[in-house]
Amino acid sequence: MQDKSFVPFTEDMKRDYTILVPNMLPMHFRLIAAVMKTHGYNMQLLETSGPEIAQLGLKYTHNDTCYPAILVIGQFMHALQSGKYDPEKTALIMFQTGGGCRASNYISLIRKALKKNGMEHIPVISLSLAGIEKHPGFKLNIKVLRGMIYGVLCGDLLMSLVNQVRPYELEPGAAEALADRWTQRLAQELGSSGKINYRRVRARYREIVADFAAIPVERREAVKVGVVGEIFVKYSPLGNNDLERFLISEGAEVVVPGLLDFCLYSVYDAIMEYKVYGKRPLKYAIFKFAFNWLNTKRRDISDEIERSGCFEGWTPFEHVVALGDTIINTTVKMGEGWLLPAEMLELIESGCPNIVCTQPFGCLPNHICGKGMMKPIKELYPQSNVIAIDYDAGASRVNQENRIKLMLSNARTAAAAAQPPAPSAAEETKEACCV
Amino acid sequence: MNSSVKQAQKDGAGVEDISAGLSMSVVKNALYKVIRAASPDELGKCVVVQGGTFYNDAVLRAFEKEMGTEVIRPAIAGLMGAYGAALRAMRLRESTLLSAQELAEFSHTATSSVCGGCANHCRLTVNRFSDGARHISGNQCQKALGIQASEPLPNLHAWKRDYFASLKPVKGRRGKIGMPLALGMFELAPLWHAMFTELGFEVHLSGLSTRKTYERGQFTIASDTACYPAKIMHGHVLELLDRGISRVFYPGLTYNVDEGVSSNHYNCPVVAYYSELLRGNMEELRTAEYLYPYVCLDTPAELVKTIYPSLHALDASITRSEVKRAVKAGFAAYSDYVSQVQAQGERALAYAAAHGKRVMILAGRPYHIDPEIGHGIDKLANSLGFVVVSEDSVCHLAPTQYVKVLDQWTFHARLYRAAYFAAQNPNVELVQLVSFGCGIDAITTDEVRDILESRGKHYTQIKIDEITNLGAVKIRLRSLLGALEEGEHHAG
Repeated sequence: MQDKSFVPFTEDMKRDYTILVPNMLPMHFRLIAAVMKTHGYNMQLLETSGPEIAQLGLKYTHNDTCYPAILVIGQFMHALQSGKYDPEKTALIMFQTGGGCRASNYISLIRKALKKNGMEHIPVISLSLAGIEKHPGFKLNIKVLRGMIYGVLCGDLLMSLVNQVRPYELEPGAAEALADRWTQRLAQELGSSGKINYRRVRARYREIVADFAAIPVERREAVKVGVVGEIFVKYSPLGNNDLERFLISEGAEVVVPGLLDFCLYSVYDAIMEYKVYGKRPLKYAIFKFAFNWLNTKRRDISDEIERSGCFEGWTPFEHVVALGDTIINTTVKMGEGWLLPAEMLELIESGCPNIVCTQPFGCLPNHICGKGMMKPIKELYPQSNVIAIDYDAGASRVNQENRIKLMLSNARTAAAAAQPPAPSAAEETKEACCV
Repeated sequence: MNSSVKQAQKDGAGVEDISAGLSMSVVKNALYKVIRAASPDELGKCVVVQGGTFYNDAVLRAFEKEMGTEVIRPAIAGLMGAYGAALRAMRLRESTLLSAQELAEFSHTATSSVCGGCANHCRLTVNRFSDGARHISGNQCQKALGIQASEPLPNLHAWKRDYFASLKPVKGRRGKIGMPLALGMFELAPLWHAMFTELGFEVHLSGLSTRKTYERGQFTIASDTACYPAKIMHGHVLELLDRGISRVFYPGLTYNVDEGVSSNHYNCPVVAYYSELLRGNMEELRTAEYLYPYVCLDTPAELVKTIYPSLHALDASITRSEVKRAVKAGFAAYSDYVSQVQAQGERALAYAAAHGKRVMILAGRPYHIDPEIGHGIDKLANSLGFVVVSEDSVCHLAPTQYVKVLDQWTFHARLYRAAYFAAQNPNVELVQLVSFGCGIDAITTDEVRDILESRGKHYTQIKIDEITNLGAVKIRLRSLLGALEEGEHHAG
């Protein structure tokens, strides 16, 4: 049962409130924030980082709570105490997926932290497809949702391309700079008019892919490393001690499955809820439609990437589901559930057997879906090289990085054993990705 | 902490900075983790510190800096406990100190032995003194002391253990099936036992755990940071297989039974899906018939629908109408179990009221009644004079609680109601058992504490894991008792 002192986000607030957004995926969230702006919401993405965030979070929440909650609460409290935002005109927003994982409780924990801080009047908006709470001033109609999904799609595309170009670019930082430029442009286009036309979005895909293909690169051997895990620490540099940057500095190519896959997973779970437990029969048709619609959109991007001939597209999601089914029951839906081992299998199948499986220390679903699936995965694919890394305010970065280095060293040994020696420096070709 | 220090060393921090950091962390740990204050303001402006730790000037200064105020450290800061004990002894007015002569003649021998009072086999240390007196330690109950309690106090944990022991295999035409008695099975065994028995299976439950159970399955544990109640599951499965039972049942349960009092009725992810981890990591199960269907307990019809396919696959002769009958029997047995637990709870409360005893709600999860997981704390509480009840035996006596968090787990919703019940009844205390690594208790503990403390009750939390250290628990429970007596002394 919910607390009676629940503060809703009213329609009046929509006019002049600033809504603070915790940062998980900078590119995606910037795009989504831009879309929301068109619909009258003034979203402010928090870009703060540093050890004081976790310290502040620990002050306002139980230290055994999962690390993402500590960070998100820390980031919110840090912002509210900074004096940059008028506490009378500020709201907070957080995802709430619902489900048996304690992550469904982030919203409540944020409210408790606010209360401890004497700011319980600040509304906390729960962004959830399940509609766990009602906020009259924050309604996700089809138009808003569609815009957000386009933001996710473009974010996934940019993320995938940056990752595929970055280790090979001749001019360091070129891929990221391009992604930045595109994020700004897309934010304007997806946002300013409010009329988003999918045909135009698709046309942008092609331009984006072409732009990335034009970045000058050199071919060299880079170990591919997949990153999977609990959604927050998997994506958020704040959560995973800048894992991506670390892997790149070690000369690896990072492969990170997209955010849309998690959206598809969530919708798939709603479908399974009906199939297995007979829950929400009326919404079954809607979920089924949404699944197919999202999947089509995902395929469109993947086709566009593959058409260019220089980048790798994405494994069809139906196949990801099928892979999951070989190792775990796809009824398992708490946290990242079946998607986590499915993503690992997908990475291994597509030639990336080296994987960092990230989770907050003590993450309950990952005991089963992450660490619990490593043995069966190893049996299926002996070449797999998976390492589980726990993130926590008390965990040491050195320790994490040393373990990842060990994984990388195993990866290089395996790659050297499997392949003839790499071409010497003289033979290296310098060229644009695609000409 | 060790790794944070190493990290700081790697980052080039000097010894002084590391030392300062340690002092800061001692203070922060006490303020935000132990006291759970949100800000130093909560403690007020005039603060006296005590305890030997504050002899350390750096810790004192760190405390002042964190509090933003000057604090008073008496010169006897480290002796406060001794003063307290002395004051208390003075009030008791009878000394058991030895005289000088007795002291001169004092001698003492210590021998170790193993108690044979029950299957627990406690390792005892027996101290013998010159006057013939004996002091025994290491015992988990009164038996080893040779004290026959005039009348055993009601203990719901013990009652429930006996109930599960009474679920005996009944010879059946369809052969044996085993169920590991761990995690959610401590709630639903009555249902599954009756269901399979009705279907003609001979149902074997693994026994209560011992340390050996854990050690036996230790090598197949996939995640060492999971809770002890989950990790011990591996040993239970092996026990069944070693007994020659080749069919093992442990269902996947996203949802638990819906008691209609919380906004949802989930199991925690570990209870819900541990079956998958067992399948993936216990090679021994691959040669067995391992049944782990995902079932729905909302209604008998839903259970029939979700469990029938796997039962039919196990034995093709099983028909749907048989399953229907069996499920009906299962639900009947489960609801009988629930009402018995509640009746026993009420009986225990009535006993306590009639005999002027204190009641302790030893609250946690159903699996905390296992002697290896609960470490015999229930018996310890009995020996301290408490009538012991479980959270599920009294929660029906309190209304649904409005808590500040999402109340969506069946087992956890019971805690909130039990806490409210304790808060409403002067002779009832609640002690919460928390297994290390229980992520969800990071949420429930603060709420349970709130429910109790906002109504002027003590909140006692005992963290338990695979290590048996009843000594520390004993001190905690005695302190609780001491605080209660002190409160009564002041009130009286």
